[in-house]
Order: sequence, then C-alpha cells, then structure tokens
Amino acid sequence: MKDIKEMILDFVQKEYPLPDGVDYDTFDLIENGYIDSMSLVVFVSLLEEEYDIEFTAEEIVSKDFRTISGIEKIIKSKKHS
Amino acid sequence: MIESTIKGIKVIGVSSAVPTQKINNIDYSSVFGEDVVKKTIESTGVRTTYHSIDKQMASDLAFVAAKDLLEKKDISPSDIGILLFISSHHDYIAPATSFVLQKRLGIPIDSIVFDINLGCSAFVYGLHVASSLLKTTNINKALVLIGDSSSRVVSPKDTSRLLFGDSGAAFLIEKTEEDKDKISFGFKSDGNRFDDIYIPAGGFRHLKGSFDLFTEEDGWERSDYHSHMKGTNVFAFSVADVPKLVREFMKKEDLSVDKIDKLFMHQPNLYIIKNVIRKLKFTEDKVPMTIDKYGNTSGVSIPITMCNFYGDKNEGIKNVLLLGFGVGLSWGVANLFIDTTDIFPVVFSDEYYDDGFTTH
Repeated sequence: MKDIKEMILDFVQKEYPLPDGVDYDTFDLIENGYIDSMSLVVFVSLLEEEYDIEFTAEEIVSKDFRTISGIEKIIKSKKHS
Repeated sequence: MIESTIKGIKVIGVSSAVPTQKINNIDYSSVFGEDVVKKTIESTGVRTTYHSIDKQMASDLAFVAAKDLLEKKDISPSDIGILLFISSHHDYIAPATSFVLQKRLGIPIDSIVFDINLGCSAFVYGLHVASSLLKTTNINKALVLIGDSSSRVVSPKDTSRLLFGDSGAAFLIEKTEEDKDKISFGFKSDGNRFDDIYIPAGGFRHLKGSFDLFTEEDGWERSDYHSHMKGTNVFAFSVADVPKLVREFMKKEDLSVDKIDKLFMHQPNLYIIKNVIRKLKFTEDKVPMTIDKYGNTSGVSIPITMCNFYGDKNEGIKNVLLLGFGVGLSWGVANLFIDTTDIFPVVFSDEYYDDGFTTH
C-alpha cells in the first residue's frame, strides 16, 4: 500500500508539478486547477481502491478534501474507524 | 429510503428515439482546443451525441418513441388511460406538455394526463407513479413518456456541451392478475441540494434573466438560461449517495448481484458509471452502457440503454435493476422482470410538431 501523501502527490502532479515550497495544509488543489470536477472522480476512485475505503458525499465536498494534508487526514481517520 | 412494492403490474414495452443529427465530439476541438476535447472525451467516455434540429422539442422525440411503441405492440391509443410526460424541458409554461402529446397521440378524454418535472431519475419515478395510478383506478394501461433536449440548455462555451445528447422514450405498463408481476422500488430526494443542477432563468421566479454569457468559477461561460452544475457536489452525490441507496435496497429486497441479469443505470459519464459499478460489486458485462454513443441523455438514459442493448435481441425474460439519479437531487432504484422481446431498437427522427404559433 502506497504512502497516502505520495499517492496524492503522484496524482496531482501528473501534468504539472506543484510550486516549490507549497504548503500542504493550505494549498487548494481545486482552486489552483490541480483537480477539476472531471479528474475528481478518477482521484476518488483511485484513493478508494488503494486504501479500501469509501468516501461520503460530505467528505468529498468538504474543505479538507481540497488540500493534501486534509485528504490525508480524512483517509487516516477512515482507516482507523 | 422510501420503499414500495407494487404487485400485478408489468412493463410491456420500451421504445426510444433520437434525432438524426450526429455530433462527433472531436469536432469541438476548434471551440475548446484539441487537448481539452481529448481529455474530456477520455474522462467522460462520450464520443458522439445526437442533437435536435431547431424546431424539434423533447416532446417530439418522446412522441416518436410513443408512436413506435404503440405500433410495434399493436396497441390502440384508445386503450391508454394514463399518459405521463416526464421532462425538465417542457413545450410551454402552460399547459403541461402531456396534453399536447395526448392530442397528438389520440389518447381518449377518459384518461389521467399530467407532467412530472424530473430529469435523470424519470424512468424509476414515472414507473412508480403510473403503476400506483393503475392499481387505484379502472385503467388497464399506462403510457409514460420521457424527453430531454439538454443540448438546448448547455452553453456553447461550456465543455458540458460534449456530454449531453437529446432523446425521447416511451414505455407501457399494464395491470395484470398475477402477483408474480411485481416491481419493487427504493427512493430518495434531497431538495437541500436543489441548486446543484439548475437553470436559474425562464421560470416565474426569474422570468427575465440575462442572455449574456458570463465566465464562471470553472472558467466556462454561461448565461442565466443555461444549465449550471456544481460539478464537485454532483460527482460526490453520484459516487457516494447513489450506491448507498442501491445497497440498502438490495439488502431489503434480499437481492444479490448474481440474481440480477442486468443493471441499467443512468449514464452521467464513464468514470461515475465505473465507480458505481465497482462499489456495487457488479461486473461490467452486467451493466450495458451507451455513454460513448448517445452521451448523457438525462431521463432517457435508462430506456435508451435498454433499447440499445436488447432492441435487436430476444433473450427471454430478464431480471433487471434500474437506477436513476440526478437533478433535484432525486434518486431511485427499481427491480423488475421484463420480456426482452418487448424492448425495441432505437429509432431516429427529425419529426416535430408545428403548433401554428406566431409571436405578436
């Protein structure tokens, strides 16, 4: 099983690398165009399959789901629940 | 979940119609750029759609499907006692479009006729409403029409234009004496998310909006009369809430994947379809798709996929699960047996109704 942060970084940097020194806690992946509503479905499927979890609609639309640390936090909390 | 089981009811025919004008999505490269178009085709799975000609409405396509169905089933319009038209794209503010269709089809005055304003969940809700009416009246046959002309409400400067196709469908329901002819349903609705998919102007609340195109958050341009969708919310709904309802329904009905021959689900885009299939543990061979050929045809996507798959096959009676979800937000699932010889191939037509109207 891949490291969560590594998995997210691999996906979002497929086309363009993140800016140097980006803050994983605050950098908004949707607002900055790293994930759009189309690629979101692919991203969600990838994470759900890799970590054997299912996100709720509330989690996907939450502010946490927009940042690398936030997504990691959601996945970790689901793995431990 | 709202549960319902109706006994002594049978679907005895399904037809679908599309316009003749075929749109190849790759041709949008000159509007949106080749990279964007290729990426959109890859992520949505939509390669072609069919768009209506100017004068052709959603009801015209539904009418063609209904006429085809009555002819192929050799059923006279005089035998129909319930006529429903389900769409988000009606002909007039008033009256309900179903009355125009009643006139055109020759459905008798001794009948129940009305419209339902729904989109992608139309088939499941229409099936339930018509079946319930059949059970509580002296009527034996109901004709349910669905039509959507999404190409009219999507901005020409919005990549969603690549997703949506126009189409119409009709299905017949008959009252029987057999308890084994039963249909089970599960429903949910969430008005808290009413503006996740909506067209703000044109109804009475915002009768006069702006026709000017404005650039929105996602970078695409739309007017007040175009369809607006909160993409993230709708995707989240589709991949989380929808499979949850189906699992709840299958558990309640004691249904397992192996008991179901085919799942006919709404066709929003390829990745959502695949995500839902995976979550429900269906294999792809059990879930026919038409997203590549017809695109997202809103409420017609279930019947058009049935017609595309079974239209030229005779595979006897099959146990099918139908799953619709979308604008509202509205989602519903139904389980029934259907004779595949009652499902007819998709027809193509540019027929439209000339009501003789001229503006003052």
